[in-house]
Amino acid sequence: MSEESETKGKQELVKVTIDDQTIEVPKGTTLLHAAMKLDINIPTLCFHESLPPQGSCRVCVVEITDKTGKWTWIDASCVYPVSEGLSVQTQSPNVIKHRRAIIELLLSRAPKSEVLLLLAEKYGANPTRYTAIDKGEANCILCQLCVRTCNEIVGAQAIGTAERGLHKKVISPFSIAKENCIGCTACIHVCPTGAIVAKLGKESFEIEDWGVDLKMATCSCCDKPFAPTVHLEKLKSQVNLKNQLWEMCPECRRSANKVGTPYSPII
Amino acid sequence: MPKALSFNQEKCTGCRACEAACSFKHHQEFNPVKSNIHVSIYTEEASFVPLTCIQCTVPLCKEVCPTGALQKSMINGAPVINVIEHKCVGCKMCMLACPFGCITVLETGRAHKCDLCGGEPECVIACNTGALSFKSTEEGALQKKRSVVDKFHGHQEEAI
Repeated sequence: MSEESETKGKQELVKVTIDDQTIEVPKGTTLLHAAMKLDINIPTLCFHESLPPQGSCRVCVVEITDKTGKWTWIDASCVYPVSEGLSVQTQSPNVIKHRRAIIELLLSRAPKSEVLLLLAEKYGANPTRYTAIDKGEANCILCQLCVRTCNEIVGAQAIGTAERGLHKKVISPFSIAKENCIGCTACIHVCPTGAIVAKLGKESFEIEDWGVDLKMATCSCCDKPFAPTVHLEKLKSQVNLKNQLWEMCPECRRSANKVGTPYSPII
Repeated sequence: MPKALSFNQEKCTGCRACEAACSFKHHQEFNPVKSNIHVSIYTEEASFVPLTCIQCTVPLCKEVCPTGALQKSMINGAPVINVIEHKCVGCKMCMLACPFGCITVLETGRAHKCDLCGGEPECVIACNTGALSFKSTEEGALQKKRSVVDKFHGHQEEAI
């Protein structure tokens, strides 16, 4: 009985060679994760540890050779599950050539993205090879990281992609359902190209790309805006805190000296 | 017994060396604003209270985190809640849920909090008066008992 459970608990391990280094990883691991374990750096844009891989930016392409050594092909490492005997090259001339072309194509969508320009410099890509579709206003490569973060992690479901082809863009549903946004700014932080810009006013929080305009809650102690009211409302349903604390910004919660009157931070 | 960062209010002089040490350890600059430990100064009462993450048994920050970027572990015999940076999306849930305001979201979009410096807190090393200490909770409890007894003893003497 115990032997059975042991074999069930054991995951099948497969051997894979990445840049002449061999590693044993559980079956189903992606090549990118296997490379990360070996401290091999593969550039990524649309990859985030908290989300399942999507494989939309294609910057992480690698050259894969099967165990017979007969077949070699290029594929995105973030979505490629390892199998026995694969041999992978992450910096071969062929990989560099493909990566360069991908970066050049992405630059036509996001010509002013700093991350992409740095990658272009590293791989010798010509930033102006293709005419820019976008003149740098949107800088979005449509990797959908923001959309997936909003829908799958935060659960606000405030944004999605609309239209097709050249006109595809990230907007709030039908550009009208703006009230779903809670102003958590996670989309801004995960965006690899820095395409989303938020404006923080005195009493409002704006994201122009999807027409969001939220009211900010002001701290009862220092009178500074600290979080959108909808964000606080969402949290109130999850966490039980004193009412007094919901009106205070984190700085005032921790430093009672600015408040003047000390308080007890007891839930 | 597990270890914990403990603090003796009578010994604190409000020099804020702990703040400088903390920000230097984590951000390589002496900037109290970026520090994870904050000394509250009550000028009229002349009392000083440093406050940092107390590594709650039931951490609200960990509860609200949608990505599981906050993980509880043991470091050098002390329970600690760590931020796994590459998992964080910067949604600020933890920042707004912490009743002590002891977790912040940096400009890089990553949550940042006291991690006990991997088991050897820099603030304790920098504290000149010994107000901050990193010791087992058993020892801390014993000291507390002793201080209460001392206080009662003082009152008794006054009464006599």
